[in-house]
Amino acid sequence: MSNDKPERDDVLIRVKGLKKHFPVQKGLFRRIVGYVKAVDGVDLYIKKGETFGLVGESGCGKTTTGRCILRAIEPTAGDVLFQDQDMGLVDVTELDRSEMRTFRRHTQMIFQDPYASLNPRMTLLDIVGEPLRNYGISGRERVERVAELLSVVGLPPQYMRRYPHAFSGGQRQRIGIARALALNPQFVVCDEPVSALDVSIQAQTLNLLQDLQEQFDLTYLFVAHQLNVVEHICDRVAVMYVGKLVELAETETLFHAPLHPYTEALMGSVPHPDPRAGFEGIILEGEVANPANPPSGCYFHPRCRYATEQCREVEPELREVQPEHFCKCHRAEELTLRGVADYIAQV
Amino acid sequence: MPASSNVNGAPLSAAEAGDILMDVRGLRTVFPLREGMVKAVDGADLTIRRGKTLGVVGESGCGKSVTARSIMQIVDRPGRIVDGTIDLYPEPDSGLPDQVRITDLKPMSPEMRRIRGNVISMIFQEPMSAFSPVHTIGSQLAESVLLHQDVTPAKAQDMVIEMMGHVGISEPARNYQAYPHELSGGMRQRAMIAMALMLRPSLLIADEPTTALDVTTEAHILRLMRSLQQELSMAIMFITHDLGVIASMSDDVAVMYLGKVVETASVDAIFHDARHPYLRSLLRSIPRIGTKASARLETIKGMVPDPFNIPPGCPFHPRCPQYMAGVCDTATPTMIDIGDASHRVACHLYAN
Repeated sequence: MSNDKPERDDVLIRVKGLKKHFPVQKGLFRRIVGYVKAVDGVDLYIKKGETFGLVGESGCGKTTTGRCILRAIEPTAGDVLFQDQDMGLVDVTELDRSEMRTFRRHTQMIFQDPYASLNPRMTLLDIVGEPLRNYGISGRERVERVAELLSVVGLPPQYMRRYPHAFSGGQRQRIGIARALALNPQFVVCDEPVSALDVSIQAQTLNLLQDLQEQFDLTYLFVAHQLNVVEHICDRVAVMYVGKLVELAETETLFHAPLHPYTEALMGSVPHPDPRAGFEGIILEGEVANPANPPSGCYFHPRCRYATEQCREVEPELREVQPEHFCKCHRAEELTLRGVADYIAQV
Repeated sequence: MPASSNVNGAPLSAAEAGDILMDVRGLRTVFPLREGMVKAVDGADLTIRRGKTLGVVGESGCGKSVTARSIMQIVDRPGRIVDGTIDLYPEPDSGLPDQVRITDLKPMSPEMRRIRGNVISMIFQEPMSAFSPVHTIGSQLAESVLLHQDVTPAKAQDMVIEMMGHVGISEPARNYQAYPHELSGGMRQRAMIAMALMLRPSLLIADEPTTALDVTTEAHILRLMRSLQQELSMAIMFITHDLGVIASMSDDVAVMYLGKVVETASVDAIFHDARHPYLRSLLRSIPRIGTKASARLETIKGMVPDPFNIPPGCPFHPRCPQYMAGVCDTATPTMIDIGDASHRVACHLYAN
């Protein structure tokens, strides 16, 4: 992504050169023998009010990216620029403690596991009210605000004295959402918010997230691996592979006319809920690259059916190949790849 | 899917069974707990054809896993089968009688042990739960061979290495000595498939085998299962909540809700001629890849009820868009044929 693009005023977050390397320590003296490069140079921008999807398979770094943006973990390198409603344009990685407090009011996270993300010893009032208490709202005002939040997510306010174990997975996810909304954030990272839920509950939860976005003018970073869900809810989508961002485009463009071979393979791997779809996908050979010991050149080259000598030796740049369509592939201009529709042959 | 006509509960003769490998009728498996009785499987009927795949689909609490475990007679205590029959019609060359009523066998009896792992095999969602972490993969696969066949350990090892290569495990001779934690998720799943198929079972039960895998690995494993099925003429009972996987793997499908089978049909009919309101709502609620359609997804109102408090009559009635008062909340619907016996549904809308 070119750094000399002028700053647009509809951009809420701009990430530049984000890296998160986890040291690998071995032996009695815990010597550092290498690094797991979980996130290895990610550039992206998120517009106000949009739902930005981040997809990839396990180990690609999507969850770590979300956490770095919120500074829930400290990035190893890179900048995260955020248009804070009170502080103006700030670099999240450079904020001091009191500035971080303001930042944390305005940014929140929803987690994947509705069973692990709620403290079983706290009532709903305690859970949803905890952010309020942390920011000086207590007593009657807090109770009223919690009642309001529970209603907004479709849970009866009178449940606030109950404990999480009394609720189903879908309901717990709503509790987590209510908690995330407590302080009227601008930006919410949704980390696989529906993948642990039953199919029929996924639909309810996705509808809820969309309604809340409209109602409260929220911007979402939607991290997920389920492509059909991402296609449904996201405006733009970025694809990650072993710590690198390999493609970024508007949703329909990414799904119907991808530029990166890995994206093409992902689109071809999803089984369709229709037996008449003459489903002829691409089966990707080999294993996902190891982020502690990645291949030379383009990380994807060992599994890429289009790889050339250059791909083996030189790591490609993330380039704007078409307007607003970025791709990290030497051959992006010459390849004609299949999109989702090409895999579904209607009989 | 053909229905078996053992109206009086008697099993079919070999001639009548024909292409039916397994027939489950009126299965009830319960868990007596302190808080009450959980009817995990509450009158389930399903049929598995030789060499074909039956997809069993349903959400949490529908009883699909307990059904599978009932067939294998490995239901966790205190659960037990309390009613119904499970009839197996083994292959002619299996050395077993023409018909075996599994529900008449005790779980740890020699007869059941001959069947389990040998004629009917099972693979699970989490491969680590199938393997001992302190033994090598190879020794565990060889163990199942040595238990059922009269061969030398060296011969068993050769058979195992060959099967490991066959399922796509790289460097099988070297990985024979590997421990489960040393393999990736996809490799462990392949090892579990190898273990299940070592003895060429007639039926493979797969309980959410790809749910924990990345989509590109899943594509491999599904392709592997399809090709092994062809090669071994093996039937598969494929349990999953993923309708995409059901569509790509199944010949026949059974849909379960709260312990009952609510609809059975060919895979094409399930997707293109769905009858039961639960199935119809489910199909409408999944976002379809390639079609960024309307803004909102259709949903099924309410939630799956508490298993201790199953509603009277049809268990789906509180959430049903076509609920008929006085009918659906009083009488439990039975399975009825739609057109021919290959498409059956348990719903009052279709009763005469």
